[in-house]
Amino acid sequence: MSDMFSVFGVSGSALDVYKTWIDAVSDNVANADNTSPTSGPAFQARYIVAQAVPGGPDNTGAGVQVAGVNYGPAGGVEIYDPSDPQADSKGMVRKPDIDMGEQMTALIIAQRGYEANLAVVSRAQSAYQAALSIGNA
Amino acid sequence: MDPTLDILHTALNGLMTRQSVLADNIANAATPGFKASQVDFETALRQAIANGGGAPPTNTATIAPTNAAANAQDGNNENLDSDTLSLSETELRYQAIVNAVNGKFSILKTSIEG
Repeated sequence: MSDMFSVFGVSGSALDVYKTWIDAVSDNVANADNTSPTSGPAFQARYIVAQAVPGGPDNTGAGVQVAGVNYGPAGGVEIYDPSDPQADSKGMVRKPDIDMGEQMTALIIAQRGYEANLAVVSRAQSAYQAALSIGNA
Repeated sequence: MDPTLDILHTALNGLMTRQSVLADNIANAATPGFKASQVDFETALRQAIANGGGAPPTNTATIAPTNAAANAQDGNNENLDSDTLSLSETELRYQAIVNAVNGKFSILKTSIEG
């Protein structure tokens, strides 16, 4: 016999992971054009690492969790922009190495994943409500 | 008493387990290396009914990995479309069986009250 209402925990964990992912992507995009002096590191994009959580009632799986964060290269890319106040003597500044297409793709995947799990919550709610109506005939 | 209610009970348990597994599959739709699972309780339940002998076991669900090929470079083989569909189907079947349980109860009630 499963734990009561266990789907809410599973889908809730997924909503949490996807939201963390969306937060990371929006932060990456917001900082994609940061410049920094070549003497220091560039802004490093954050990549959320998701990991399945085993267990749960009857071993059906206990959802998903954020296992860690990977960072983009600190070196970034050096570009020539002598008008930037942070440019070094050769006119170079450091910018983060962020692929905007990759970020936007991740954003869409995360958004769709969030929506899919929200749909699971409402499906589960209907089934639980049906279960609660047993004996009401 | 006839085993109808017990059979319906087993089916409800099986569908609930399937719902949990589908929820976990969908929760891990973007988890690298995740392998989706599926639930079968019908085969064992059908077998138990065919064998006769009263009530079937209350839980006949078995969880096994799907054999789907990985559809992403990260080794994840979850199919979001088919699992979302299965989830809808599971919920509707759950409601249908709840209706059947309630129907059985109302027959019992009629026979008790006359």
